Parts: sequence; structure tokens; C-alpha cells
Amino acid sequence: MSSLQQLLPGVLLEAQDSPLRRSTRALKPARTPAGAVVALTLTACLGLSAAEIVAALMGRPLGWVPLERLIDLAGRHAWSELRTGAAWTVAAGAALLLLAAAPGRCRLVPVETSDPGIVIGITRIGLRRTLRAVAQEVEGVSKARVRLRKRTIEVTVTTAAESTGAMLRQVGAAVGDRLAGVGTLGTGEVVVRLRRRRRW
Amino acid sequence: MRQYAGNRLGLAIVGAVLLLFGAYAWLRGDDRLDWLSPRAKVLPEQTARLVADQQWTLWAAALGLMLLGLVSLRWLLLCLGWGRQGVRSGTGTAMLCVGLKDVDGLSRTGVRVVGDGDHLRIAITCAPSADVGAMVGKLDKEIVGRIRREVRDDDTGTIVRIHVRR
Repeated sequence: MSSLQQLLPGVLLEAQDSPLRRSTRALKPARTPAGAVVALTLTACLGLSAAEIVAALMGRPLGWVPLERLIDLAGRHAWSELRTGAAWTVAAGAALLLLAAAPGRCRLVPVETSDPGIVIGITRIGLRRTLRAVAQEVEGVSKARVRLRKRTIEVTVTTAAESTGAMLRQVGAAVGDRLAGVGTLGTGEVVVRLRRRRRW
Repeated sequence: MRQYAGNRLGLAIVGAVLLLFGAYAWLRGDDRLDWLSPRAKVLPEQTARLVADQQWTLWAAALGLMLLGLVSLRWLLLCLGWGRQGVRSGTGTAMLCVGLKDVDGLSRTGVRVVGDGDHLRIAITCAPSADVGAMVGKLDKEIVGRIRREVRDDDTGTIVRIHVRR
């Protein structure tokens, strides 16, 4: 046990398993689309190649995979002629490794819970809609748009030409209250922008 | 509670194989491997003749490819949700609806028991006018605890997905 752990028991444990970290672990993307594409490609290539080899050995080639042509190409070309293809293979491998290792952006915004066994998440578009509905309830706001950025939530409200700065505070307070009520984790601060409707 | 890691594992294995093979081919083609000639053919004639003479190597290759194909087929099925979707719990869904009866604009609810009762998945869709904060508070403090006690036990992990419709 380190001296810090002896001095402050539980501090490191809490830091490692904060509610945000716990929720992110459960809600991070599972890489399903990429996994499905790679698994489908592998299944098709490996299965067809096996069938082609067996059919060729039995004297009735299927002609689904051009194995003969591939063998012929491998017999005619030297390793020095494959450098471009090798570079592309390295790039594809690195991209797949990066995709596997990178945590990725959660599709659900984690919400604070009192029980560590419960993970609650709200969809990003769902959070945008509920915040937009709250902003539009403020008197004088005709239209509102919400953007979830990495560290901030940007609310742009469109109002009549004679609107005042007090409205910004009202919108900010309403959105902040809703966010506090939902208890979202790691969403950052709320930035409210005002856009006046032009008089023609 | 952790997200399903099978896809990441599969992608990492395929990525590592591609990276290693590509790096070997590039290093060999660029004459960085002193003991191997870059001008050698990818499939030397001698090797091709040896394989053609001994047909059992082709049968072994076909068997190996088929086994790998079956492994990747299993990955594909798991990836598409085979065995991971869980089963719908009518009792849980009914308890969820009763617990959220005060929420306006609730349109879709569902409770699923995933795997061998490893964890529960709860999905809720509501209208933009619904008080999501109050709903989250209720779920966290009462409803989820009650559902998991009834469906499984108190320690079962639960993931709740809330969506707000148009």
C-alpha cells in the first residue's frame, strides 16, 4: 500500500470508480457496426475460400474465389513489388487497432445515480429535445436550438426584436434547472446565445 | 458492469494480424530484413510444387480456413445480438408502467433480462414535455430497486436508457 493510500484510505478507490467513470464503462460504444462489417467480411472470405479449395481438390472448382489467379500472382511477383499494398495493410491494421482501443463517445449521456448497481443514460438527441422544450417555455422565446459540445451545452434562442438580456438569464436558469434535475454527468457549462428576429 | 467487449477484442486481433503481416511484407520488400531477399517471389515455385505434390496440406488449409470461418461466424452472430438481447420481462414492464404512471407522454417502456440474469436493461421513451429529472429520481430511488428485487435480486446491475421523442 502506498503512503498516500495509508494517509487517505479510500481516496484512490473513489477516484478510480467515480460515478462518471462507472457509467462511461457501461455505456461506451460496443463498436457493433465495425465489428459486424469485419466479421461478415471474414466469414465470407474464409468460408468461400475453404469451399473453393475443397471443390478444387475434388476436381470441380466452383469459381467463386479466383484462387488460381491469386496463386499465379503470388508466383510472379516479388516482395519488393508489394510495398504499396503492404503500407495499405499496415494502415488498415492500425485503424482497426485504434478503433478497438479508443473509448469512443458514449451514445447515452450518463446520469448521476445513488446506487452503483444502476446506470442511467439519456440519449444525446433526447437530452437536446428536453432542453429545447424547457428553453422554448420561457416567455418571449420563439425558437430554440440546443447543441451538445464536448465541454459545453450551447443553447441558441431566437426572440422578438425588443428582447432584453434578462431573457438570457431566464433561459440559462431554466436549462440549468432541468440539467440539475436530470443530474447529467460531465456535460459542462451552459452557454446561451441570443438571436433577435429581424423586423422587415 | 461493463459494455460487451467481444467486438473490440475481435477488431484488435484482426488489426494486429493485418499490422504484423503488412509490416513484415513492407520490411521484406524494402530490404530491411538482411537474411531474406526482397527479390524472392511471394510464393516460390519450389513451395508451390511441394504443396501441389502433397495434397494433405491443402486439405489442412481448407480445414483451418473453415474453422476460422466458423469462429468469425460466431462473432458475427454475437455482434448482431444473438444471446445478448435477453428476454422481455412482463412483470418488470408492468411494474415500470405502474411506477411511472404519473409521467405525462410516456410512449414506450420495456424491461429485459440479459444473459443468465447478469443484468437488466430498461428502456423508456417519453415526450419532450415530460419532467425527465423527476422520472430519473423515481427510477433511481424506487422503481429500479423494486423491479430488480422482483425479477432477479437486489445486486443485479441495471442499465436504464431514456429517450425523448419528437
